[in-house]
Amino acid sequence: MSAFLKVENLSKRYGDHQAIDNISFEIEEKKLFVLLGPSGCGKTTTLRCIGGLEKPDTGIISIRDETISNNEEQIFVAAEKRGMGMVAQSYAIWPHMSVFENIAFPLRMSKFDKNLLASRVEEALDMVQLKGLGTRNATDLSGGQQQRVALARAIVGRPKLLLFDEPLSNLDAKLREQMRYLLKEIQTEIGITAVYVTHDQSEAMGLGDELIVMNNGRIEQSDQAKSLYNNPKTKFVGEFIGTANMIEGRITQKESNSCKITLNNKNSEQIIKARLSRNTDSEQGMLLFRPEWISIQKGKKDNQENSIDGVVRTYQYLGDRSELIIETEFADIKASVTDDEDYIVGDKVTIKINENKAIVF
Amino acid sequence: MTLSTQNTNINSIIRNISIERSLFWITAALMLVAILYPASMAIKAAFFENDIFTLAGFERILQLDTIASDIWNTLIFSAGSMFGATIIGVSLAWVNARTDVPGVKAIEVFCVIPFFMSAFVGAIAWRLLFVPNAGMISMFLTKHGFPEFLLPDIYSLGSMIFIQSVFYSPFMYLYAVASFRQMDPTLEEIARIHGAGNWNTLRKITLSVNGPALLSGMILVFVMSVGTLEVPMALGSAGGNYVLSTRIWALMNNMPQDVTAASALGMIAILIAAIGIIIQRKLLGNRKFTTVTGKGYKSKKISLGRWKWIVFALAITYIIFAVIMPIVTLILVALQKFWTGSFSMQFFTWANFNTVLFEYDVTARAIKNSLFACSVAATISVIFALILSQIRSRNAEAFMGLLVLLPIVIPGAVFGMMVLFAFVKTPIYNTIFIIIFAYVIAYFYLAYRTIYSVRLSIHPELEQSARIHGASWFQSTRRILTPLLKPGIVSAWLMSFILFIREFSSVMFLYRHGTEVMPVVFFMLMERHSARLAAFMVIQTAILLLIMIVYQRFTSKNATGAAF
Repeated sequence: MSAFLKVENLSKRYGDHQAIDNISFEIEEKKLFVLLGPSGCGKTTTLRCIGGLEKPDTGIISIRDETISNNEEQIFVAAEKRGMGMVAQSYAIWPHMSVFENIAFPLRMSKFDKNLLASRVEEALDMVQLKGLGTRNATDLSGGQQQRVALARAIVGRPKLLLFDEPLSNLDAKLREQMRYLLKEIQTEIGITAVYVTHDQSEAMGLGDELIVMNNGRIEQSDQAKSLYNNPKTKFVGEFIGTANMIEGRITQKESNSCKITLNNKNSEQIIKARLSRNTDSEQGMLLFRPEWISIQKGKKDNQENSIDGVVRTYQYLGDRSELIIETEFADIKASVTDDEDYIVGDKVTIKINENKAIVF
Repeated sequence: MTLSTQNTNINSIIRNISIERSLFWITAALMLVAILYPASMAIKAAFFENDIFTLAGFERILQLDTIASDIWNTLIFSAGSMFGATIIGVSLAWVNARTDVPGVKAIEVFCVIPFFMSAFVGAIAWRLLFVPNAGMISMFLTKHGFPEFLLPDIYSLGSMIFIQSVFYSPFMYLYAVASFRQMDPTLEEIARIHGAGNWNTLRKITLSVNGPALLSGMILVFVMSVGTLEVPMALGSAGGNYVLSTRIWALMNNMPQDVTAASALGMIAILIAAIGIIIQRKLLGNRKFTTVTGKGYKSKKISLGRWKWIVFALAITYIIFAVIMPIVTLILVALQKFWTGSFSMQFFTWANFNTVLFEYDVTARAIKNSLFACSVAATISVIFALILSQIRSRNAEAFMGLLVLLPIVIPGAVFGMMVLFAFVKTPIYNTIFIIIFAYVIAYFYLAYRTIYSVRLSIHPELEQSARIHGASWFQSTRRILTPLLKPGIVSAWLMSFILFIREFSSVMFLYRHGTEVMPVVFFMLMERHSARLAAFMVIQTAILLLIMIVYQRFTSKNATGAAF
């Protein structure tokens, strides 16, 4: 499929701060695309550039091969002419209008047929499960309801592209989850393309057909959720997505896809075999593995392959799994196992790291 | 069980009768009496002659040929000024708060100056520019062949509205700019994303969301215009355009004096103000827009593009009209031996300043009187505001809301007359304290709101912990609260002082020989000696600007907005 939204070499600077640093990406039609990253990484600025609320310094943005922003050609289509919809973090419900009028606003602006307007608004209200609340004063609604109104308002005009700027972060945890399902359902149902900005990785992974992880104004990795988790391309992504154990070491043997890394300590040394993320000239490496990429054996078993000895420091049984922190000579290691073993703090254990999963950067 | 509950009740009542509560309610009651007593005296004056109920005052004013035109002029003048001030003030506020116009900081400072300079000073300056045959601009233009009939008539109702609008627009500005800055900018951005251009966003979102705040400002400008003597006296009376306030003043001060008719007219003025307020309440309904703000992306201001410099030029035009031109005019006139309508080096002199400062006893006395009365009144206002902002209970705050609102709704000139009635038979009548009284009551809301808003930001635990550690109420107030409130106290004092020193409408009823304050002397000099008048006005403006500089240095701009 060809690209629906295309962003090429986008940059934006505020004074000394390089908010976006020459990024490019493409989005396919009808997909929900997530921009994920810590605050200040440039994700919101990118979204605002797409929406036309911010004028980029360089770069081209186009929708279906129609350029909406191009600095070199001096093209900058105004926000109101881009035909998009947006849901903001602060809901941005207009307090002086009823729920109905809030939702009808995009239709009124586009001179939508007045006879069909009411039914279209009702339809949108129905979609966000607020049927019958149209006459209410918008500010009388709860936060969750207000965000639904904002969603209805964003989709009522059938925009080309839907923009979400951390729409769920003002809601409490339970509502957030409900909204997440509703949002995904509506997006798939009406088949709309969406760009979604968030710093919450579980939200991002749950919603996104495709994700971009951003850091310091650059794209770290663009992938599907599963790949981001299992095959992080950079240390940053490995650390930012999910939980990760990280131990520094010396790369002692390199092959095309795998390597051996020697973990050093005053007293001992341990060689771990793992995947090599990319060819590095550097001797120094960083071993990264997730808590569930290890298995635990009770007792001390010297010099087993890919294993580290340790002592259980904390143990929490969580029903579907157990979480432990194991103190070793090299680092404290977080482990998550699904075995039914009981552990006691102080138990001597051996951790075996899955060589097909762990990665060295 | 019942007994112990009763005991707790009694205990809690006893605990509640603490020093601060008593002090609060005593002060609040005093303030209420200070407002209601003069009001009741004015009502009495309107409906009673020699202690007998009568409608004679109303009958007499209905017989005046001018009554219809006075009321009509008042309505046109007040409504016109309200809209004029709103258009100017809201535009400037929008430009400063929401757009990328260059030089925002400088424009901002100049935007508030005209209000403090006072409309009377502004009107006199404009009069010196445009008075037929002797105005600096009108003479210059006619000399260069500009047809005389095209010159604006400075005494016309239109000119009065224009000048009142220019000099009261800072009031709207302060209301609007605070409201614009508090608004979540995402409200506008979302509108733009969903298809609203600049104009629709401004009209349907920005102005509508801020509607309640703007409406409150508008109604205050309306009421102030109903009660003002400034522009109506400086321009209207000379041109034969009387409004209710100038008519009331004439009935009180010209022979034969007619107190009953003046009071009856005062009732009509209050009625007009009240109708304005009722209309505002109706429009407002229950709407008070509170908005949820996100943790927030600092929104980019609206880019004006090539309009930027046009908007900048308009803002500068306002500043020239409202600040620079009046001040320059007054300085030029003040430096002339006598005013001939144009500046000439031949008549250059510093003597006018010397005269009004040291030689002419009335002006010299007025400066002293003004400084004394305004300092005392500002100090009293601040002390009262401190006491009255202490209590945080629903009752107390509701009461205070009412208390500070009452004097605002009484038109200034009528308020002056009320205070006069209240004290006419007391020893205070002939002293400057009657003026101090009027200052404090008329503008108390300003000191109160300023200190109250700072007070709200101080967490009660700060005082509670002082009390727990053994400090009495007095000690904790003195050692904990007062230092924390200091910025509020200083800004309240300075703001009050500025407003008092320029107050014209009410003191015109209250001065006697020996208790003249500066604005009164403006009036006395108005038809007598333009050059000395200008010199005197320059001195007052210099004092005001000096205090404003101190004020700006001392406080953040936000405190000003919060106070209104």
